[in-house]
Amino acid sequence: MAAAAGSVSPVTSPHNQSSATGGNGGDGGNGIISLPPIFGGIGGPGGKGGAANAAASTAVDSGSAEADASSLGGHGGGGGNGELNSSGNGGNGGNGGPATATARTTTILGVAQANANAYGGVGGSNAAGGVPFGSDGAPGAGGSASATSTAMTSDSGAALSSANATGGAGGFAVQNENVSGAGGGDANAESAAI
Amino acid sequence: MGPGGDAIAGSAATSNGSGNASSSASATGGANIGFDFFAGGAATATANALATGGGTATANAAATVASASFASIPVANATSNAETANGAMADAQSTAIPGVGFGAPGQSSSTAKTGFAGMSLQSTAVAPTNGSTATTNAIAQGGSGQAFANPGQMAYAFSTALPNKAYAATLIGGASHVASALLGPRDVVFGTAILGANYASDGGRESATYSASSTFDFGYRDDLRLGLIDDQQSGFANGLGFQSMEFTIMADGVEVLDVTFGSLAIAESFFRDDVIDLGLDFGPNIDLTFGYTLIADGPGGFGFDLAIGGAVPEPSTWAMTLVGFAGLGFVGHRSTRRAGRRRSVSCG
Repeated sequence: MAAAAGSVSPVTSPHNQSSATGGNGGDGGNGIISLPPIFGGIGGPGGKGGAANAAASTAVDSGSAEADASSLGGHGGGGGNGELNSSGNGGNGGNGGPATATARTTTILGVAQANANAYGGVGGSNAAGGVPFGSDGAPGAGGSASATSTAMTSDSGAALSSANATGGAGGFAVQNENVSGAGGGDANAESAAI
Repeated sequence: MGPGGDAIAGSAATSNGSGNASSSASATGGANIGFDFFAGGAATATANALATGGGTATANAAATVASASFASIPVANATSNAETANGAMADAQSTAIPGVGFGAPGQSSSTAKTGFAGMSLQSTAVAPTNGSTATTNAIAQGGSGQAFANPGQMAYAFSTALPNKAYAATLIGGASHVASALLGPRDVVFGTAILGANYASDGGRESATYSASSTFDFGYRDDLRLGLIDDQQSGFANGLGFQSMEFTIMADGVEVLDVTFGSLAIAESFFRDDVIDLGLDFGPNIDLTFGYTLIADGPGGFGFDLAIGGAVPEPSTWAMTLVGFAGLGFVGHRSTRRAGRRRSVSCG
């Protein structure tokens, strides 16, 4: 499922900002009680975090202009626990959502500044399998992050460009079961002024 | 923890007017705190700054890997490029930091370019992460330049095109032989360079190779002289940590000098106040690259500065020279002589 975030319409200000945050993935459900316990309930996997894409673009003929784009990938959901006292396996953590931020500024006369910041979502925690035979799930991977910024000026102003990307941290390995978590919503934000 | 996410950051700043261009890119791979199967994310940062109308250009790139594991070793790469016109300062700096645990591969590299009064100039510095922090700095400018001091980066290259008299005199300082050869009333210094490298403080005694170079493109058709001004050494107490270094000169892509040093003392002697006559068969369009490589496995650093120049002939001499060149078919002969001039030396 995708969710819009931020402005998607061009605006007239020479300073455009765009931000997007992906939804967090839901936690996986715990394994249900089963008989005999040797067929223990399996924990559901955590949902993956939603992707976040933010883009800001500002282009003017004269005067200073700025574009800022920021995105945060959704965090992965935690895995569900395997049924206790059984062989139910723990669920995997969901992966963190990827984040992409793109900022672009151009002006003919004036300062052009572009800033792009992207933070990948944190991976979801895993869950432990039921004791004594269940296997532990795997923690989710952190989301990737990509930031790109471009600033261009054609006259006396300065061109200032900054891009920062931080990958999401991997999910913690914890002990905790058989409903899948819902996936986090994607988010896309874009603004542009030409 | 699970594996950390990868991070990629790219930044570009372009000023086509008189303004400055500043570009910064920072990438940090996702963390994986703890020592287990998974690793942190890879990090790639690229910063480009271009100023074509007289402004300065500054590019900074930083790539950090939070952690690595025995099963996965993510890469940390930081690349910075700065370019200007009219001799304005182009300054490129990069930092690549590997993960904790298992050292990440990758490298830090910086390139700076400028053009000045018909000359073009490029400085390049490259350092591998090799399990340790790698920092590089390259600067290119015209007229004035950097002081001869150790900036501390793992590899650095500072180059100046057509240095003014004040800067040239300051850099050459008390190197009397170089001053005599290059600071006379009819002499012109086409360029100066400061090249050096330092072993990473967290290098863990792993062998690492650092490199720096300066390239000068200019027009000149007379006797060309290279002044080796001075050296600066730190650490390497009793030679510990120093493995070898190499100094090369390339002309139009052809190696004309390659000196390898196994001894610090001999290197110090080589780079201290000496003049090498490179002759007159490089012109009229000269493309010279001075390269430096340091291989070390312990704390210490070594750098040096140099100047390239020659005398400006009287106008009548120029005319006679041109006639002579035409009569001898000099251009066709040049490549043969140049190839024959190659010298490869191992010292100490």
